[in-house]
Amino acid sequence: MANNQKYFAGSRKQFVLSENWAEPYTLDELAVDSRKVSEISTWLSSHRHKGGILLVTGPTGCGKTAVVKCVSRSLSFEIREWITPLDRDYQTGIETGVFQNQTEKFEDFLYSSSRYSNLFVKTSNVASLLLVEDYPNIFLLKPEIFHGILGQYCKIALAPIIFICSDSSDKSVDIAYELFPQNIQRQFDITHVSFNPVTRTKMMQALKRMGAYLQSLSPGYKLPTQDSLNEICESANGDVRYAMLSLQMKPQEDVVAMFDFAGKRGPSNKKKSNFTKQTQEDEAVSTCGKDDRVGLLHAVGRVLYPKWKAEGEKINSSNVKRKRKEDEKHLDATMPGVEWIHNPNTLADSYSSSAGSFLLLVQENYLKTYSSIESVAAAAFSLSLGDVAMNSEGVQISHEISFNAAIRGVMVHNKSPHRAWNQVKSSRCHAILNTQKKLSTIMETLFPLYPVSPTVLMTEVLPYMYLTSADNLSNGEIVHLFSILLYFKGPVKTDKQKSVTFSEQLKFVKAVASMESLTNFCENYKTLREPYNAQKSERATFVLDLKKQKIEEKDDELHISEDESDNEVDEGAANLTMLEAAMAEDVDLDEGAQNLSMLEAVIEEEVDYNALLNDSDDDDILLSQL
Amino acid sequence: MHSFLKTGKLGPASGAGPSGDKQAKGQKRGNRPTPWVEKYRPRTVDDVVEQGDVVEVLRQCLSGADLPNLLLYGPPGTGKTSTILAAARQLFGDMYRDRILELNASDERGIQVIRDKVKSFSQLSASGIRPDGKPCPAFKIVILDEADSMTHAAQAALRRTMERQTRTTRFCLVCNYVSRIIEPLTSRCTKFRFKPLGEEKIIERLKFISSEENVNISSDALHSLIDAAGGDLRRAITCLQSCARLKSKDDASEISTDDVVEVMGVIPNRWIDGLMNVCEEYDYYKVTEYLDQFIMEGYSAGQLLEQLHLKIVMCVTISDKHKATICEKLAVCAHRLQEGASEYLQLSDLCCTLMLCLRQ
Amino acid sequence: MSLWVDKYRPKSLSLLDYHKDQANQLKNLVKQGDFPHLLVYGPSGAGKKTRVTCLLKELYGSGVEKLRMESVPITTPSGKKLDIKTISSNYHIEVNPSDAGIYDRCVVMELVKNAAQTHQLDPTGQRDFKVVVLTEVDSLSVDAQHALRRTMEKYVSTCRLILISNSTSRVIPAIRSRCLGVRVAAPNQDQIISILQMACKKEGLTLPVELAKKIVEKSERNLRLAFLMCESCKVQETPLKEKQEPILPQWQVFLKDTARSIMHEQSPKQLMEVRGRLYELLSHNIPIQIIFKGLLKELVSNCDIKLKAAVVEEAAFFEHRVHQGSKGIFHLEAFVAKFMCIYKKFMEDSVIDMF
Repeated sequence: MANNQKYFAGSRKQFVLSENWAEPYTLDELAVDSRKVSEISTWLSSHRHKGGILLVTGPTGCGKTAVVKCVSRSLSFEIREWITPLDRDYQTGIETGVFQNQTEKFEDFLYSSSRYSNLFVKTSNVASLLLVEDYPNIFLLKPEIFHGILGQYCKIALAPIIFICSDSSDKSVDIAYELFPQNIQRQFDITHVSFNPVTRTKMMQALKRMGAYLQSLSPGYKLPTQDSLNEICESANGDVRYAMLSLQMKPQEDVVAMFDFAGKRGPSNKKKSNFTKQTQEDEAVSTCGKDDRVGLLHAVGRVLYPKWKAEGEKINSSNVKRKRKEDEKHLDATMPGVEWIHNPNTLADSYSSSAGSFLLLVQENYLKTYSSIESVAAAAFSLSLGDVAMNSEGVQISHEISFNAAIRGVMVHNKSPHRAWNQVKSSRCHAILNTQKKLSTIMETLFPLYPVSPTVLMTEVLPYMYLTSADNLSNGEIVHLFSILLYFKGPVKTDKQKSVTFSEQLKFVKAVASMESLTNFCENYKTLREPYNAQKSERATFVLDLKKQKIEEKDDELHISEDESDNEVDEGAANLTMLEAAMAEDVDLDEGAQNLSMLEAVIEEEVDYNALLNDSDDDDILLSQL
Repeated sequence: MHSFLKTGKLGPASGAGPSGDKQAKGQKRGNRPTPWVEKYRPRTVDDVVEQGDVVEVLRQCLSGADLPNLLLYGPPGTGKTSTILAAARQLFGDMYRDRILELNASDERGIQVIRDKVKSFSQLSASGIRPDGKPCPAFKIVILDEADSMTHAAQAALRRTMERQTRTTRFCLVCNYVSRIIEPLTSRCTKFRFKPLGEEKIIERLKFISSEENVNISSDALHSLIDAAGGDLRRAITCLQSCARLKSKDDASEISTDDVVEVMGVIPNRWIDGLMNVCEEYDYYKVTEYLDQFIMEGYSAGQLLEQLHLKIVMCVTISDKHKATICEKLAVCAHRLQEGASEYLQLSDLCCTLMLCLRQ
Repeated sequence: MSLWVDKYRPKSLSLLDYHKDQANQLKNLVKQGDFPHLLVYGPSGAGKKTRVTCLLKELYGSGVEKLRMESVPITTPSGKKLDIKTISSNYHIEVNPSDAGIYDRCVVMELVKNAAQTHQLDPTGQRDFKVVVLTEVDSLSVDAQHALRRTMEKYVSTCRLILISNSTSRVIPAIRSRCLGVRVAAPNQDQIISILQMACKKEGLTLPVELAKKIVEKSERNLRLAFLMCESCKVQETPLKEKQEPILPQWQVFLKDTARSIMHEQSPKQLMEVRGRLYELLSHNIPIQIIFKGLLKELVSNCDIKLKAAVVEEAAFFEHRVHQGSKGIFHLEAFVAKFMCIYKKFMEDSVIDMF
């Protein structure tokens, strides 16, 4: 993004097709929630010629930079962007004796740009705005330095500064988390605006605008169909930059196909070219999909609903559907002269790099398409074989071959697939693994010195400890939490129910992790009560924090109260981060957020949580504020 | 190390010599007894018996002949490492430490170590005279113990080094399974197979040790010890020592067969017989109950398979066809157990097969 | 207050309730001043850990009871840094190497090396060696075990190893031959009953023999479980009655229900439901081996002997695959599917036979 200077320098007309993506120019073109935009513009206008720090975060490609640029343009701010100098400067610095490292340069930049206006801009009503999107590496290693510089800036600054950080699923590289912890945000009075991924509707609007624009550039341009737009929306997953990119690339392929078609026009070829175009599209989706998601799901579908045709039979897109109905019932893979419509070989080839997750998806979903238990047994056998073969160390079995064998097994044995529409669900394996990890972390924190293995602890000691100590645990909450931990739901029918248990367990983790004295739990249960009460208010703020999130998402009007309770919320959030650190390290933030949203559901359902809040007067006040 | 029985033959002087020294040393250090295995390790090549060929070659080398690269293989406890160490000690005397590089599976032995450590060691030249003026071979010895657990890549890295450094270095590979050594290496070495030791030799040695150490062991117990050890002298000696340790010093009671069985981890025969009987009864619940009890006793399932295998093979009432079926199942179960499968499930599976076979 | 199982845990070798001969032997061992590496094995709840703790106390006195938890940083050859949780006193260090996953090899080597190279600080200490206790040795990789075998010999002068494992099947022969095996069999019915009764007496209760027998049966000769059950019975009803039923942990009840629902109907739809339940079990950290065993015990109940053999064979086959593969649920599900398949056929056949 930093390289788009050329575009900003010139007028909008300079936009050409070779430019990868089109940035919106005016405020209405933005695909971002208008509330966020106004938030930023209010902030900017209140900080004209004044120091101030704004932190903008959000997922990749949700339009953070675009918003900042558009808003500043509309308010006639001049953007000064920090670009980290190359290492070469550093080298020559040593040679020439003028030594200035990145830190000093950054300091310089903040100082000079915030005080002196650009000589080349004559108009007096243009104010400066500093934009930092690129952070010198040294700051990531030593955030203290960065914070020192910020402190200086706050004292002298005459221009606002905006920091833009992309959210990252990996906590270790999350810049916002590293550089702007809660206490720093408070200390320097940093305003924080967090963007959500672009909604589908907004994305669609942006795509259509873009399509129209492309058409205005080259009149021969064919507007993409609604279907392909939908597809792009799906695969972009909230990333508007990516969506624009794929829109731009897609028509170009179509154009090629169109020319091809024009060259060999003739009735006999028509269907064929139709067919090739379709496959081309499929391939395009599967090869350049954002994370192979859409393509992957398509492919999984092909494995789950295998289709055959008689040998030599021509398949084309228009009569596939009809054919399917007529022939399908008599065809299965065991018959002679039957061919796959979607050859497992090609599927295996294109997905061998993500074979593990592919198999997980197949495993999670194959049961619904099977009608007899005998074929399920056979298919399950192939899946199990596939897992073993892909995991083998001693004998080198090719990954592709084992993968191929596994999906073939699933396809061949499915003699008469159920055709009902089923949503492809993602596998629960990883969720289970995570739960297991968390559970063992709890166990470790709770009973560090207890002389049995974690397995025995979980299967033998804990269930009875709950039974036998319920009387002694005068503290009702602990009993409640234990019962959650050890409680088994009956048949788990829906995913939602599942997620509730999961999040309840998470709740247990949080509650437990906030009670330090639990380490000697097994020694003395009764000591629990006091520290637990002490922590209660923190826990309440934690709940508050959740409420805050919910409010944000629902666009409630309760924004003001949010600011008022900011302090408490921060505490809660700090507490939260601490807890997260206490949990397995590799539980990334992303997931944490996901869990939180699950938690909300729990809160809604469970009234006793509120009862807990009512316990202390402080909390009552907070509650009424909400 | 087992075969040092020659000591006895050479006469008490040389036999008691090294071990006597050792004992004195041990006492000086503050009464810390050394494992008997170390204490009674052969000191010279001549102490090693029964492994005729390799002893002959080493003896020639001691008298000045050249030494080929060696590959010593055979079951555990037959004296492979002892032999080469004894030879090296005799060859180099005090320079022993400088001239020997001993690497085993617990050291890092990846390809990098082979390249760096072994190469740099083997590149040093060695003089042909000992500090005390006596002549000694002008080469060093690299001993790769437990060579079968080296990776193939590391073994491959070894072959060039081996060839290039023949002037200054001899390699001695020691392993249990020669099949795990890659072909190019075996072809560069002279192979010597170490045979399991004969029963009399072991008895002789054990009797010698027990009289040295004042251990009271019944001859029945001695025999069951040897049975369980199966030609592995190290195991036999260790077991003897363990039994002795478990007895209190003032208690002069004999080591009984039961003690030996317990220490060796052998399953008493009544359990094996009981299992066969209960399988013949053709009642699934009785079998699983018996199995539960068996596992509760803490016996090793792997051991059960071994002993059961002997029993089945020797059994006259089972037809060959059924023996084949059972043995196949035994092999499968042993394999799965080794990979960590649940003992209960594998043994139940085995017993079901037994049950069906014994019925017919 | 603590659980009975902790309260009545014997604190020294002479106080052990059963395997008294063995306790004497261990005492002799300690008296001699010499001490080989030990491999303590036996089923869960037989008292392995208790014996090791007693042994350590016999060796070093009450100093070993001052435990602290440390995390030791270990750097693997590939440069990855790990923190391993250890429990240690001045005289010994205890670690569960399976925590380190695939890096167990270097963890084992480093820890033993560290322990062996740092001598006792206290010169008046009675022993000049430290003890390294490794638990769950059965889950140690073969590679790590090979590494261990030489390390054991190398540092024998300053360090002794006590290995604890449930079974010796997975311990390589080389290790077995370097250790003195200490087999700890599960206590038998009479032993458990007398121990429980003694404990109850101290609590001011009488334990009816009938109930004690039931507890022994349900606990499968696992003393820890027996203690826990006994205590839960007390909570349930005091004084203890003969007719009382010991409570099973919830997951066992759940597992039995699952088995029942498998036998109730055999269809892909039912399998879906069963899978949900299996996931539920797994997410409660119930080990997959235990699930297999529990399912098998229930599932065979309604089969004739040939079918039983077939089911057992399938269970053994798929349970083995769990260890070969990486995703347990695949194999668990395959087993359930296979069972449904053969069981359905069996039921259909027997219906036909009836007419």
